[in-house]
Amino acid sequence: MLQIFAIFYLPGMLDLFVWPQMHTGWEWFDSTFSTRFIAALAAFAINYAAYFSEIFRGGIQSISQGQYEAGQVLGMTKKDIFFKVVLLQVVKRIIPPMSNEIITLIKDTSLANTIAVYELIFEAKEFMTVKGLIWPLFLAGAFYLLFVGLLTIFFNKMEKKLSYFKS
Amino acid sequence: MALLEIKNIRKSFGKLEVLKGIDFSLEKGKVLTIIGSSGSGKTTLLRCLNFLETPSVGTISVDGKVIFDASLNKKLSDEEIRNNRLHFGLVFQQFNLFPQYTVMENITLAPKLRLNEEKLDKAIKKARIEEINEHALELIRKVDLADKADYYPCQLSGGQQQRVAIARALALTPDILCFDEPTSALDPELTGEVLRVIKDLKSADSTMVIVTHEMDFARHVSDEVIFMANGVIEERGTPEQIFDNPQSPLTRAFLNKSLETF
Repeated sequence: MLQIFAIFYLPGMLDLFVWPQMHTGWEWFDSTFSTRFIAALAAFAINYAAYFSEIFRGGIQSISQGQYEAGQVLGMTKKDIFFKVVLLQVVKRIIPPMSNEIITLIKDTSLANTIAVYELIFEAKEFMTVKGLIWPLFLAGAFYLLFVGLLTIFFNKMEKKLSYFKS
Repeated sequence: MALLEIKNIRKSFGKLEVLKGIDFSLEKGKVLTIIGSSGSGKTTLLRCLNFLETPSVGTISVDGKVIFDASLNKKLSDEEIRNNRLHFGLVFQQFNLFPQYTVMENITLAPKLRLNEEKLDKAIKKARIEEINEHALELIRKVDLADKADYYPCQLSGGQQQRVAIARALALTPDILCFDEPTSALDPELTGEVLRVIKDLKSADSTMVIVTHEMDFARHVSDEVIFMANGVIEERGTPEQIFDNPQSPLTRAFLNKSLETF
């Protein structure tokens, strides 16, 4: 959330205080949907890129040196060793942490609501205040549940599909 | 002429000198066993032969051709190293089979990748793939796993996995097959089957370098035994000489300890 705040407000503030005469900051500050959306997008992209790259790194490093050496001794090229030997083992290992992270990402999208991006919760809240109904909020919750549920089923299938070998 | 000739191989890791000048030669069709206590440099020597480590000093020649010479001080290209490696096969202590492939695929993977590198006609390629598959099946039969060709490594016992690893190393028809403690990761009742396969290879005239802790096996299978201690060859000779009449006090002490029973 702080990251979203930072990415959304900081450029505007810098503009305000560093180059006050230009007043471009106000445009940033005032403009609605698109810049808010871009800020939220950038925040999520940077944040999750960091998480995912860590997962990939861990997955690749967890493959034992022996697999590389076995490939080398058999005269394979580095490229072949990575793509034909190591990669599928990495994929198998990172599916559980990756699915966790993707599910967290979906739930985290509700944070964009803090800078008034028009997302699911924001929409539901608006409905609630305008029409005086509580149901839209529950429906939003149900939608999250459905979405996450489908993803869980999908990742379970992938895991099952790769369970024919152990590494 | 000796098939494999090694001259004055030295290898240091930082300040620690693991190999302090190893010389030996090996005739075609002979079996050499290397024994010695842990840390004496046996494994490092094998890894140098397979270019998993680069010796700091020394030369390695196969069939009279020098394939590695540290004094030239030139870095071998990946391509050269890969070609050099084809002279040698290595069977690991931990098998290191590729878990996502079946027994058959494990054995054929490397030859098929090699085939892909050559630009060949489709028809010729097909014939070659057929050849590779047939060769693999033959190897699977040789290591006594004919009914397990479509199994994955995780479905096999340690002994069976190690036999697959031997077949995989043989698939590229190396001149010299190296074994790095092939039975050390196995239960005692499984070592027999692996050793039997190695013994069969000996009768098929393969040239082999075996690092092992199985003294009985070393005595029966080898034409020559090297005892290594502290990075040098302490003693070498026929199995009878080494096991029945060791000259060096270090060899004697090692053998006494290894043959000790409870």
